[in-house]
Amino acid sequence: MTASRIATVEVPFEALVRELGAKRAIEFISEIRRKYGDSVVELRKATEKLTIEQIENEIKQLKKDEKA
Amino acid sequence: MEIADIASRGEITIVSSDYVKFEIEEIFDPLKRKDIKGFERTLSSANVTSSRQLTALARMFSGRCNLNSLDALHISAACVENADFLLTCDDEILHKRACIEKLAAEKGYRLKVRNPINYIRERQRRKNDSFADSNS
Repeated sequence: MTASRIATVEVPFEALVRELGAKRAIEFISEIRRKYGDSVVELRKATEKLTIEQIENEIKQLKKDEKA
Repeated sequence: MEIADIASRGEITIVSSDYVKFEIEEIFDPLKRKDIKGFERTLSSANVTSSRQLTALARMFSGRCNLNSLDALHISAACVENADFLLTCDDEILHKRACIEKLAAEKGYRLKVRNPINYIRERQRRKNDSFADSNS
């Protein structure tokens, strides 16, 4: 028996907005990705212990990485 | 979704910041991260970057309202950009709304904190009131 193969197509959100409008694009993404879970809880856990200085330093590093 | 629609019609301006971008980078699921980056790029038309004024204000919000650092930075970024509303689904911030709005007003900012659903309801009510006034 052969395993099923599923093709995926990556569509940038901006392209969806152009085609569907912002409201419908968000509805569409929400419908197909219900598995996401609670973003607020996830992000709070990831960031609650950081100090202002640590956040500022990480942002500087992100900007450096973007330029590189 | 309603807010995205209002923003795409140009009726409101959505402000982003380096702190929003930083928080998006912390999203674990790569697909979700990509989608949220897309939302942020598409819907926001202004970006707030770090400044001494902003971090000093964040320290005040953090100390007075017992907010964690990133929440305090989000709120300060909204103040510095003279935003009217900070919309959030985060109960930790919403519970401290009175303190945040009081300190913002003391510092000369007009920021209000709202749950997006309540914001839409208030907006609709204001629209209905002004329509009724103009017809009376």
